[in-house]
Amino acid sequence: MSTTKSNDTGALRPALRTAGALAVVVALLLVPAFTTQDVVFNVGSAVCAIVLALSFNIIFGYGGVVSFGHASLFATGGYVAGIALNNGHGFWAAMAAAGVVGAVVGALFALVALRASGIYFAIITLAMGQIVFVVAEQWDDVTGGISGLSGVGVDSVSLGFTTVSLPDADAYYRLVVVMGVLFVGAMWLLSKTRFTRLLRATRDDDVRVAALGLNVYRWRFVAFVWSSLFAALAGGLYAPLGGLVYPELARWDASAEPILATLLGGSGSFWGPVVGATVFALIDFFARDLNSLRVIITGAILLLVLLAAPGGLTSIRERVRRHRGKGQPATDTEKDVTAAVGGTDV
Amino acid sequence: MSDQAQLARSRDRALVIDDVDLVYDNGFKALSKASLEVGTDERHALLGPNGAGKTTLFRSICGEIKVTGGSIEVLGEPATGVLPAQLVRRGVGRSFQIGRVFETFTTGENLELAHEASETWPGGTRARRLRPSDEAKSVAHQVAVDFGLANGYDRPASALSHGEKKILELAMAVIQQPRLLLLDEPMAGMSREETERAIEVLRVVGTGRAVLFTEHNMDAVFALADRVTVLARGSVIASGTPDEIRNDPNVREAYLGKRSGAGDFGHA
Repeated sequence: MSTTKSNDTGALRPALRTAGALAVVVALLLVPAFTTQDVVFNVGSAVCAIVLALSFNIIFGYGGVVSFGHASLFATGGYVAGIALNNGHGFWAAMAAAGVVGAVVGALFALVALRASGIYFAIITLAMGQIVFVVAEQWDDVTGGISGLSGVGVDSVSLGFTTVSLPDADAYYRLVVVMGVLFVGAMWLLSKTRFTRLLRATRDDDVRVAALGLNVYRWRFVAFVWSSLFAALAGGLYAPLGGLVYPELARWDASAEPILATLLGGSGSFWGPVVGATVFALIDFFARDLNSLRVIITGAILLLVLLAAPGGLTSIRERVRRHRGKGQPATDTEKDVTAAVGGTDV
Repeated sequence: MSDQAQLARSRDRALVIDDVDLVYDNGFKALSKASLEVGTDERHALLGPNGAGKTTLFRSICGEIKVTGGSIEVLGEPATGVLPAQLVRRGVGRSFQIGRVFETFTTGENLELAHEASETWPGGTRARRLRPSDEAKSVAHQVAVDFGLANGYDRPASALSHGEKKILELAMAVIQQPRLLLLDEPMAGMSREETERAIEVLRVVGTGRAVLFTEHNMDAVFALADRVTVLARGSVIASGTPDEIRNDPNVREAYLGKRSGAGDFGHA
C-alpha cells in the first residue's frame, strides 16, 4: 500500500530539489554579470512579481477567496518604503514600515470585504484597491501625485556587524534576489503550517469547517493579513529597483497580474504562481516591442493553457504522473457501485 | 417549575427542546409546539414521515434556522441565536445527511483536521502549535482503526464509498469528543453490510454521551435508541421507549399510513 513508496528515489528527490533551487538562486545572482541593465531591472521586477503572486495565492489558492485589489497592497508597500527611504531611513526600517502598513491596510480591507463572500468580496476588494489608487494620485504632498515618488534608492544595508554598501543598481538587484528568496521561503514555511491546512479546508467547504467549530471568518481574516504583509513587502522591495513609485502600480489592471500569473501556473501548487509569474515576465520581456500585440499573446497563451489544463501549468505534471498507470485500485469503484445501489430504506 | 428544579433538570439533560414553533413568512407551520428532551447518556431517535419537520428541527438545534417560538437549550445553555461553530465548541458534534468530508484530503488528514480544529478552540490544548502535531497524527490513526477506516488511510477521501464517507464524518465528530451528537440519517444510502457496521460503531460512540439521530432504517432505530420521539406535520405525536412506540396506534396511523400491517414495523 502507501508504505511502499520507493525509498531509493524518494531520498534523492529532496536533494535534487535543493540543488535545483540553489542553481536558480546562483543563476539569478549572476544575471548582472552577463546581461544589460535593462535585463537586470526586468529580472528584479519578476522576482517582486513572483513574491506578489505567491502572496496573492495565500488568500486565493489556500483561502479560496479572490482579491481584486492586491496590487494596491503592493503599491502601499512601495510608497511606504519609498517615503521612508527618501526621508533618510535605512533599508530595514523602510521594509519593516512597508510590511506593517501593508498588513494594517490589508486588515482594513479584510474587515470590510469579508462581510461579503464570493463575487461581492472580489468587487469590494477591487473598490478598496481603487481607493488606494486615488489616494496615491491625489495626495500630492506625500505621494507626489500623478508623477509619483522618484529617486527612491538604497545606498547601503546594515547587517549589524558590518555595513554593505550598494554602489549601483546591480548591487541592489542582488539584494532583491536574496530578500525575494527569503520571502518565498517564509511563504513556503507558512504553506506547511497547520494554519494553512485548515485554511485549505475552508476553501473546500467552509460550512463543513464551521461544523468543526472553527471560526472561518477569523481564519480568512488572518490569511488576508499574511497575504497583505507579503504583497507589501514585495512592493517595498520593488520601489528602489527602478527608483520610481507611481499610482498605476495600485490600479485595478495591475491587480490582474498576480491573478493571471496564479491561474496560468496553477493555484493548487505552491510553485504554480512562481511558474506563472516567470512565464509572464518572459512574455513581457521578449514581446516588449510589440506593444498591444503583447496583450493578445498573453491572452492567447493563458486561454490555451487553461483550456488544455484548467489546473494551470503545474497541474500538467501531476496529470502525466497519474496517466502513467497509478490509477485507482479497482476495488474502490466496486465499493462505490455497492454503496450507490445498496441503499436500504424502510 | 422552581429555579432549583429547572437547574437539576438541565444538569442531566443534554438537550431540552421546549414548545418550539417555526412559522415561515408564507404562513407555513414547519414546527408546532415541538418538545423533546435528551439525557446526557441517552440515544434518542427522531422519527417521522418525510416532511414531518425532522431536518428542520435538526437545523434549528444546530443554529442554522431561527425558531419563531419556544426555546432550545443545548448542554445547559440556550442555543437560540448562537452560531453553528459556537455550538460545536460548546460540545455538539454533528453529521450531515450526505457524508460531508474534505474530498481532496486523505482520510487521515480529515481526522487530523477535525482534531486540530478542536485544539484551536478557546481552552483547547496547544492552540498555537505551528506544524501538524504528532499527537494529532496518532489520535487520528487510532480513531481510524477504531472506526474501521485504517484501510485507505492515506488515500484521498474522494475514493471512499458513500457509506465510508459517512463513517468518516462520524469519526470526525467523535474525535472532537462532543457531549451531544446530532446525526441526520447516519445510515442513509449505506449498504446492508455498512449499516450493520455503522450500528456497531454508533453503539460504541453513543455510550457515555447524548445522541439525537434521525433515521429511516427501523432496524437501526430499534437496535440503537433508548427513547424515540415521533414527529408528524411539525408536532410530536408520541414519545417513549421503542416498545411503547412500536405499539402506539397514533404512530402506526401517522407514520405508516395505510401501508401494510404492523408486522413491517420493527421487523424489517
